[in-house]
Amino acid sequence: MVASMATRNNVKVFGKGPQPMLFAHGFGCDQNMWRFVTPAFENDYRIILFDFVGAGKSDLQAYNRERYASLNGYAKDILEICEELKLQDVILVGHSVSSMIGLLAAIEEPRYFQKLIMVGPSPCYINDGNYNGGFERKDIEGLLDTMEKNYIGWANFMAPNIMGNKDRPHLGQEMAESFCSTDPVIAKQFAEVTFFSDNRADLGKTKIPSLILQCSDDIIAPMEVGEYLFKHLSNSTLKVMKATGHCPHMSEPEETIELIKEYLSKVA
Amino acid sequence: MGKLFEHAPCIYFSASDDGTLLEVNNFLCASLGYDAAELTGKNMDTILTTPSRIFRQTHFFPLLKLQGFTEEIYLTMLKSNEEPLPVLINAVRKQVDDMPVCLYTGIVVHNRKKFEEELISAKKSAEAALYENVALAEIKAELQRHIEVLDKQIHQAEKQNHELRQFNHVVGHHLQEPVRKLTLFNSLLQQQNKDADSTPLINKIAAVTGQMREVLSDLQKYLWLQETLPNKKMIELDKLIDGAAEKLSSEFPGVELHIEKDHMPPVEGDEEQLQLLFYHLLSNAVRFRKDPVRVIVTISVTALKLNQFRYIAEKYKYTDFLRLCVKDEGIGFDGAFNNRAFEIFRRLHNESGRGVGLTLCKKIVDNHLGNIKIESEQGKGAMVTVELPLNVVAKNAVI
Amino acid sequence: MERSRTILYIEDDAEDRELMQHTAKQVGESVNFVYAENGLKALEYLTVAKNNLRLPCLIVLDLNMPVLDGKETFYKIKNEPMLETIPIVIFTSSSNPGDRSLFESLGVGFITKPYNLSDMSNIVRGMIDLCNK
Repeated sequence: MVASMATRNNVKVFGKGPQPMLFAHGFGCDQNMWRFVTPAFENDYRIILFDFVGAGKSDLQAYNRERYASLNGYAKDILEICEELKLQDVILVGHSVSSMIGLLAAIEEPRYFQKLIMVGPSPCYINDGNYNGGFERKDIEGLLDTMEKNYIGWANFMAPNIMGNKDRPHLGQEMAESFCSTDPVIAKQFAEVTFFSDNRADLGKTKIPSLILQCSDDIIAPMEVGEYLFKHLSNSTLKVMKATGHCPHMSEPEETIELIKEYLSKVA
Repeated sequence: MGKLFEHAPCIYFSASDDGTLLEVNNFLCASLGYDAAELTGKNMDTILTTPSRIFRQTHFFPLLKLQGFTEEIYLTMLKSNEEPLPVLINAVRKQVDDMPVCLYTGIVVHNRKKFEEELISAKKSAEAALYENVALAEIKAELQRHIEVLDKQIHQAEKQNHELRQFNHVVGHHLQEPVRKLTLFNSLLQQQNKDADSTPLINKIAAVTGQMREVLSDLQKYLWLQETLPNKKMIELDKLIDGAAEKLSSEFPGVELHIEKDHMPPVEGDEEQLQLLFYHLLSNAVRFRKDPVRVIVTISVTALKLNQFRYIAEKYKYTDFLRLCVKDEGIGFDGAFNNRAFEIFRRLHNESGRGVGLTLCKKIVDNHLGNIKIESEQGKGAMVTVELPLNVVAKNAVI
Repeated sequence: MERSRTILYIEDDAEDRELMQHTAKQVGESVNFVYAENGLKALEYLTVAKNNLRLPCLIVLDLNMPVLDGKETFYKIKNEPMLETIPIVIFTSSSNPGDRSLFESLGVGFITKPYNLSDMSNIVRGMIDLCNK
């Protein structure tokens, strides 16, 4: 049983302001993704960064296959951090799949959250009839194959459950300083959960004010997806960015910061 | 590009941060079947398969930006004839004339890929076998632990059931009988009474014995909820709520009860018990109303997934639940009592009510393996949140 | 055998017997009420009554009794030649649905002891009517 969420999720808290701003990284990397954005908010907010279990410097031993087979399991990481830090009126900034994870967290426990800021969100990645998510199943299967053949920050030679077995010796737990771990077992399952998820039905379950930051020319969250979200998320604002690609908070941090600040100042 | 790079027997190209190809060497062009002119100025995505495009956006680019370099990245490029080309890439991000530029080198790994695939496949089989062994051993140990715990719990439950049955008997017989006789004898006294001074006293006795009867009746309901196994079937909640509202309207004829509710999907449960649940929730809203004539209750509904396991740590199964929020605008109560409101006979006001309604509600929700909580503020009404599993899976099997 | 105009009330509780007596008096004295404190005493009475050829027209039987409880008393009576023909009515405070369904399936009347006097009067009148049949 994990003693503290702060350790389990490698939580970092800093900033001079009173209102909490919680940044959730998406699929692929860890809290370091936000390093170009957080300085702009440090003076006015209390910044909370963390790594989902299985990513970054989180405690890999806490990885629970059953729990993290569902985005709800990831949402619980966020809720447990909010609970432990006793947060209120949180502005939750989520990148990519963490926009949906944030949405699920806000549906389950609305009392923690004030606003949702979604960077490159998508409620469903696979094309479905008239819905254009951007990908076919075979594309995702190809991605899983690619993940299997990449060993960035590879920590486990074998699956965690075998690794952690008391009878077997620990097989070198040193992990390279790597921001984008692709631990073949955990990262692959995160990829599966993310890209096969379908949260379209959840969009109507909350009225929390939200900002959708839609990149131009993002193959992972294409324009139609941003428009779909805007249509189905009540109380949402859609901003199309000049930034291209999927990580505007890394490729165009100034534009990202500006749009977030603009949104926060308007929606008092 | 220097002649060496131009003709080197490896992939070499450079691109800007957003992926626009700047320079490409011969080997790359030849491997992909393009001319240099066809590639320069185009986005890198053009020469990557869709999965690799995703990988580039989610891993490759952030790594380059954060770390400045990457090593041994496996990607699949896309040839001009749409065939895949497996490559292993190293990359570095440098400032060239004040602009960030990424330099990529790599090799084609057809053979390596084949070998690697066999390795991975073998590793997976070995792992699977090992996992089964290890997992099996763990499961056996866990099962043993659980059987021991379960046995103790069954013993505990049986003991409690037995005690409860005895308690039930006490309440049913040894308490109820004297109350019954008290009522009857007091009535006789009333009949025979000729003394005007005695009348108010006799009436007080009648009132108090009436209260005792009601307390006993509530206790019996509680014990009945404890003992009977719920009779499960799919239920239309709308009808149930309307039924409870009607009953209340006839009990409180001067009061207008308005219920604003979302559409309710069907839920699996015991009809009688769920009706009692709504009756008590609405009854509280009416009893503790602010406006003497008009009561407005809002019932909002959300379908969501919650963890089915409530007591065993580290076990997760996200299943469908229905969350109902029943809100009224009545007099409310001090929020400090939120957690204690479900205790039997706990009264939170001096107003009417014996304090058993919420206790029964909790019992009913517990019987359905759900959750219930209440939040209130003095003067601002109360909100009860009930979470019920949409399908009550084979439960009550043991006790 | 001729039935005398007597109702046998088998009841261990003194107050319940008292209430029955009081109500019987109020309702009218066309029928004689006889009381037995428990099943054994009731059987003794019935044996004597049998010998004197004066069996009661109705037996009112409580269930919760010491020594020999209501159910056992019931079966003992039903197993006795001649006694088995006397109609029996159960008069009990028990709210156990099992008891009720058992006796109703045997075609035996099952009455719950009331909380108010007018119900009590009606019940006793009903018992007297059964006797008059």
